[in-house]
Amino acid sequence: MNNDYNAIVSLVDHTPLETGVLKGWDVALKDNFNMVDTLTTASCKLLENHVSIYSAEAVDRIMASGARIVAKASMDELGMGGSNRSALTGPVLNPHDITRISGGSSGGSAALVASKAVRLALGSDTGDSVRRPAAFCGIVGVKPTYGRISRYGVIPYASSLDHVAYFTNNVADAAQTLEVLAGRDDRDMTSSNAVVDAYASLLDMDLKGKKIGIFTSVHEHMDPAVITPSLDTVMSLLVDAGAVLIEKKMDLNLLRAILPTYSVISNAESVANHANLDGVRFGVQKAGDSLEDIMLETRGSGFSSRIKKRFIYGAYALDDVNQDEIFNRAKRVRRVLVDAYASLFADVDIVIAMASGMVAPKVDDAEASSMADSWMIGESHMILQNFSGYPSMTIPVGTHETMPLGINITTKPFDEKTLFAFGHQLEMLLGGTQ
Amino acid sequence: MEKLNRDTITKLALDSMMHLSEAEINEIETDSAVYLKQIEYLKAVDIEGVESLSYPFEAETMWLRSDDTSYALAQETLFKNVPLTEGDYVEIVKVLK
Repeated sequence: MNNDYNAIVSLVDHTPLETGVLKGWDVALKDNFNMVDTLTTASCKLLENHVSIYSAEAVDRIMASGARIVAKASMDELGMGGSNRSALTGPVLNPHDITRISGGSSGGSAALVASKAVRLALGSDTGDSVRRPAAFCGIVGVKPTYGRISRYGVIPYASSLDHVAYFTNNVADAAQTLEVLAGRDDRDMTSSNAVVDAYASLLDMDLKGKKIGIFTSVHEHMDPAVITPSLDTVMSLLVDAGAVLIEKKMDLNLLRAILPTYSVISNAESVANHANLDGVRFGVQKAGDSLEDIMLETRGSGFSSRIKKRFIYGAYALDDVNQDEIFNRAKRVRRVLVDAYASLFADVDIVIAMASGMVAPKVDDAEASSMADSWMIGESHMILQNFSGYPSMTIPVGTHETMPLGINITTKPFDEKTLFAFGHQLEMLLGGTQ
Repeated sequence: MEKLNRDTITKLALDSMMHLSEAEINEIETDSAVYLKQIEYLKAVDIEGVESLSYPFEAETMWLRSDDTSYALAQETLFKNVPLTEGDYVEIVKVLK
């Protein structure tokens, strides 16, 4: 397995079981998945010596399925980024054009699937960290319903938003994978008891008369030169197949509140979650004259400046003086956003939107961070499915100037059956699987 | 809402148990302008009478289990990554002098 894209951070020596539904599949793990006796760094200097002493539930399930785990994949530090530029091992390059990034934070996993080095790669999706890189790399990226897959053993970012997610090269493989990964785990108290369907054998769907929501409000904030040809193709194919397309709108003030709500909640939860990274029980410990000195030195040198900035923002939102006005307000806005998003599904089971209004940025481009609606809405709308927990999948939908684009499909909670069946039909209409 | 200035940043860094360099403090102070402008957008949303939403679903997934040991890691396993141990203890510097 080559590493032309700087996607691998360590190789894994794993002998698979003799049988299983994923027998013959090679699998990569984002480097925040614990797998016993493997290095698990989450791309964080403080954890660069961290060897897992147990395995994540998702990893146990992959191993029990007969698949072979071959590598740990690069990621943004602690999952906190959207470009993979912040990885301890450097940016991950896009297999479609190595002058461009793969996206993040699950960028190594995306590149390994896009380059066909592996058939499946696990990632985590806190604010589109699988579904946006899937669009940039021209592959399938799935974030199932919140609670579908146990997060036990995955180094967290923001617990109310974190999902185990994954990449494949086609929807059929994605459906098969969820059958393996989904199910209740008592070690993750947010995991669900909901019935897990035989998704891979339920991929048929008659589109005739099927009502599909088109989330036009987000398309209004994307570059039409980039998205229009692919979006028009999708809509024409669906109409030709008998589907009924219904425009879906959301208030501009709500759309502009998506990214700020995410920033406040994710930074606040991350600074609390990562309080245990102190170098005392694990990690790279720095010397000090007192426990306090050890922690201050260990954390001060163990996190990058980017992460420390996010922790400061999180601590600021949680500070007693600000908590009501910032953190608690964001949680209330979250409910308004989720209610508004749920209302889009009043007369449809499926809502689609272009995953991103741009192709993968160049490696040397500046990190995006602005007040422009193209960023705060066009490039941030998929966070709605992290707020709401709705199942959501990006599939390839064409190209712009040779670089891939993706379309995002979302269904109601725990309706992955419809998600995969519709995704499979659309994939067929677009020309079949890779 | 308190100002996110140098003093506040320094206090929050200590609360979060991490050293910041002068350059990092300056960078956070400068970059926070965009963050604070974004937060202003939250005020444009009417939250009158709206309860907080802490998790996507409010269905019960937690309950009291029976009082049996169901899952535990052995001490030997837990100590594998600990920088310093002594006997049954994780060792740190002396806190009582």
